[in-house]
Amino acid sequence: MTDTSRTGNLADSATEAAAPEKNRWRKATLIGLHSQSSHSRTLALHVPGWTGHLPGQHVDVRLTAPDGYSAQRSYSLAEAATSDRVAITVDLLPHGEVSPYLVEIMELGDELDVRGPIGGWFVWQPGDPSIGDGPVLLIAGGSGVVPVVTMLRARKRAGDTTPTMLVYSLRGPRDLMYGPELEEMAAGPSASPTTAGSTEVRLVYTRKVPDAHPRPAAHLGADDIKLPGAWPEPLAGRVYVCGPSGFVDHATRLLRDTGYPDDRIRTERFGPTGADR
Amino acid sequence: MTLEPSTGAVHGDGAESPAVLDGNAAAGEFAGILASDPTTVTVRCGSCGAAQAFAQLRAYLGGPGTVLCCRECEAMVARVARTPRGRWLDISGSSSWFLPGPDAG
Repeated sequence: MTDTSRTGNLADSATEAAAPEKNRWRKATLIGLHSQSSHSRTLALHVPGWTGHLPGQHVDVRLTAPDGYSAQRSYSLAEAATSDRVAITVDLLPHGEVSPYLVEIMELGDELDVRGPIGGWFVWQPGDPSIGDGPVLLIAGGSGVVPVVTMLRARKRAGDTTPTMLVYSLRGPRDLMYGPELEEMAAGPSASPTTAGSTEVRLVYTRKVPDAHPRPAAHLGADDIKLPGAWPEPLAGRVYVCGPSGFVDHATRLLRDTGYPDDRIRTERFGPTGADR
Repeated sequence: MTLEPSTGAVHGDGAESPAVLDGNAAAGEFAGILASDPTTVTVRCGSCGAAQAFAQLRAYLGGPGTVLCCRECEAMVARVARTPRGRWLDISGSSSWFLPGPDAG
């Protein structure tokens, strides 16, 4: 029982031949590249047989060297579901093993393996009955913005009007991902967070602030996650937090101090360590 | 318990924390073991009794195996290790796993 479509990793093939469809490694071909910040880019991949996913889910990505050595990482899905297509937005970790290849080297037509979609916990589907009328609070640290922007895109596509606020913590202007898109979501005097496709957006710069930005550079604080006073509910019905582990711990503490019960908080951590094998 | 993942790190501040992730990152590994999505499974810690979503367990990846720990008391609740012949699953640190969904029949 060997999988003839792959090379290397003989140890895996016996178990994978019997793996359920979603847990099977699939060949993916790079078909599109889009720069998102000075150190991140979105990769669009053609994945035959991909039947879609939910906003917030992720994929495992596997790179395999000619000698059979392989490294594996998880990346959030960066687009709403489209057949045969997977997009991920990857932030460069300077001493990383996988991200430098994905951000700086991989070219159109190159291949890698993907497995997924994975996860049903860190997911927001517009109309989710357990969220009710919301509001929904999305808190992102660094490239943790990727899955929550995917949620916002899905919300827009569905015409969902749940009041929504995005709080995005980043070091400085150079680190801003999805800048124009976030501006569009937040823009316009007629825009209101209850309008489909429109969201209250707060950019929390921690080190360097762009010109004319009203908030001084500081780490995420209790005021940053406070919902606008004009909103009917003082607390969100559901909070999604995605970021590095320390950021998630910090945000969770702030949320608990604000009065959020644990069952309203869903978190996802990322970090430089993936599963190498 | 033979594995002792570093403790204390999760309460440290921010950037210095080593890369402890969560069950979301381990879901791909467990998706091949459970029939349904692992992240929404409720796992009860065998040490302190706290129930939590699989997604919210502490996850230590990148070693020879994947280790999952209780987010409240840091006790190991589950681990999976790959060998050339197959996978070892050890859930002796947990007291129950609730898999949500309709009657699995």
